[in-house]
Amino acid sequence: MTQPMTIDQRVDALLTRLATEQQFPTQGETIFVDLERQEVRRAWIPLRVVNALLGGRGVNMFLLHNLLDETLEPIHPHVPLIFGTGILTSMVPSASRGNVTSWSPESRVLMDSNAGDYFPSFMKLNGIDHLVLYGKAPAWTLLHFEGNEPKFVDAAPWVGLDNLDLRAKIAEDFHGVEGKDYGLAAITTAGENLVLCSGIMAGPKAIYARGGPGAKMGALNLKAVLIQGRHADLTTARPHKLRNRDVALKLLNTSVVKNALKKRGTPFLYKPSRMLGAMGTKNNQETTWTDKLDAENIDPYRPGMEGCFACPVNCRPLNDMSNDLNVRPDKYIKGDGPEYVTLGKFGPNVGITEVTQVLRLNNICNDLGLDTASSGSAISWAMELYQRGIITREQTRLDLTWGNYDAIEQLLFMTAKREGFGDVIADSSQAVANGKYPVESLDYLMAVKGLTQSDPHDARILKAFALGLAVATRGMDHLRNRVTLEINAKINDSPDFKAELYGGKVSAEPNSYDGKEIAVRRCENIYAVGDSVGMCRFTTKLFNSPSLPGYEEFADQVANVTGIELTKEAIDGIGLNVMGVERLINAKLGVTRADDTLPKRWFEEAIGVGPYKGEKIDRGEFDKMLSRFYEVSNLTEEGMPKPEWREELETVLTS
Amino acid sequence: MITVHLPEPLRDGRAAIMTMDATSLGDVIARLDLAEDRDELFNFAVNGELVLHGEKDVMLKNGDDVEIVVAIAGG
Repeated sequence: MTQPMTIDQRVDALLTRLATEQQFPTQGETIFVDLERQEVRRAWIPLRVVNALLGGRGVNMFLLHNLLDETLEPIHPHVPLIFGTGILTSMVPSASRGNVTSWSPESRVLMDSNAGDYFPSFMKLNGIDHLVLYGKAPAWTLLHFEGNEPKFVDAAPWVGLDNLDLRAKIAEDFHGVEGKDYGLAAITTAGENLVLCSGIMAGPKAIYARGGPGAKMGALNLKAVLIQGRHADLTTARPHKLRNRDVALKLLNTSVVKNALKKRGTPFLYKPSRMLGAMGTKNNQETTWTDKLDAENIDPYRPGMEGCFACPVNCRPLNDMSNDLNVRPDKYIKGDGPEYVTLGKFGPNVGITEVTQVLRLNNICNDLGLDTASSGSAISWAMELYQRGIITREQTRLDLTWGNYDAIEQLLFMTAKREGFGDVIADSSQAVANGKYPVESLDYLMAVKGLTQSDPHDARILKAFALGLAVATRGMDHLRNRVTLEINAKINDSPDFKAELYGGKVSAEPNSYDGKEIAVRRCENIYAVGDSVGMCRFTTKLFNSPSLPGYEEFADQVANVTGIELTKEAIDGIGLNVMGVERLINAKLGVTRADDTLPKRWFEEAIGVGPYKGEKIDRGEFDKMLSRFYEVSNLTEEGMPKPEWREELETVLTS
Repeated sequence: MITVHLPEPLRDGRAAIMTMDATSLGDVIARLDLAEDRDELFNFAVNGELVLHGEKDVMLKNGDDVEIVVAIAGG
């Protein structure tokens, strides 16, 4: 039997196919770092790959496809962890994002997570487009770049620190200010302890979250990557600042930015979700919750808003509970956030009703480096198992009754340390596979492809949202393809406008299955392109508004910045290509059509309240919608790229 | 009479809470001149339940409570 290639052989083989010099203005290097041997190699992504996948998430997929050895375990250090920065990151307003990609130890399918704040921008500002990390460092290491030259620094002074203390100490030790002088991606103690619901912190709140990136980085013995200074020559192919002004004006004049994101951030969505009867509550056993968590009730605790690198939107609400004498005056009395996801996951989904308790849990998760979607979901799953008597206090040593704030807070700290029952929560969706829960527990796991749901919105009503959660390549996550505007009556009641928006006829009725595959396809394409150029999802057309920057602005600025000309059709095709490569990777990991599905509960239990009482997912209708989705996505009935397209993709990936 | 709650961006000098005679949401939209000005950010809720489509044809009765809420995607 042929032995699989080692990671060294894979890197060697890949390097022979990469370029040895810059391919276009502003392009940064792809740097391969073997942490075990402390060796560094460099190359440039060839134009044929850029033309097919652009950069950021797209090119990360090219790299993972070439370097992945699926015979290993996902946590193995020879499965690389790949950081990528969008082709426009740091150079266009609101394009401050980057992705981290690998094989997920949490879901055991593709891991791909996007974050902002400053780290991706500092990659680009220092001429690093992709950073491929592999091998286990002999001791805890901090990788320190000044420009694009890395130094392997003994991380002993920072090991054991969580996000707040770590960022303060790094600022002191490296004499700088994050965001101004350097960007930092780092793990907390949760990552050190290989907690599967831990992320990589890209700022005080920004986190590469879904799929366990913190555990992947911890498995490399890599505490942090620090990129200091601004050393790259980012002279663009053509002047781009005038068009940047158009983009900024478009952003700032869009109603959702002016009236919602800049003022309160994403917690706005809590209210419409609960009014619809679609607010995931108590692990989605119920679907509405108290109005005490409506966004306006957070107003007294919000001193201001923050933003990512050079973004004019500033959508991140800060919180400060210092004036509330009922709140414990420790380091968690103020912080950054929450987003709607956190509000939902640590409010209704665990039975919490008090704003200050949600804010405090948000601040604790930011410090402990826990993905609030995954850790909140793991806790609500445990609470339902406790409610049903599938697990008992004998096992948990904690009273996991819904809304027991003290137990939830304690459990977060125990999770980061893998102490007691925290060791079970730390295994997230893998708790059954790891023998910590009985198999029947899987009936109550709200996950797809091993990843728990990100958005707390219960999608039994909105069928396009449901389809998106089923087919998303990284698992049950709204940020890959959510047809968000499906919730809006004005758009639903304008059939011509809606058809133009999505490129085909989509039913006006949110709970209908008709045409929803067309809308999901359009959203999945544009969001994948957004991730590949580095644009924030919140400010990408179709996610929050039909008026935000989209293909036209992306294509113009890719041309101005890099000199690469792309038509609207070509850029849309790139979005499709990214999904296609992701499906090729998932196929290597054993993913099939059967995995493009939804939690059992949504097929079998109906919504019990609100205007859509009685609504659930019909298996037959869902299956037909899935087949239609495959057809409009150029996929076979098994969900794989059709042969002709697959050959084209494999030519890009392997030639 | 029905009660209408207007969010700040749509008030344009009007009160936050108004009362009016209306038999449908279509009437409310016309009386408040919101057909063009209201963008994709805003949805109606009647008696606490969100309306997702066919809004102009939603019939109202005396005492109904109409609220315009902000609906965006999340993160």
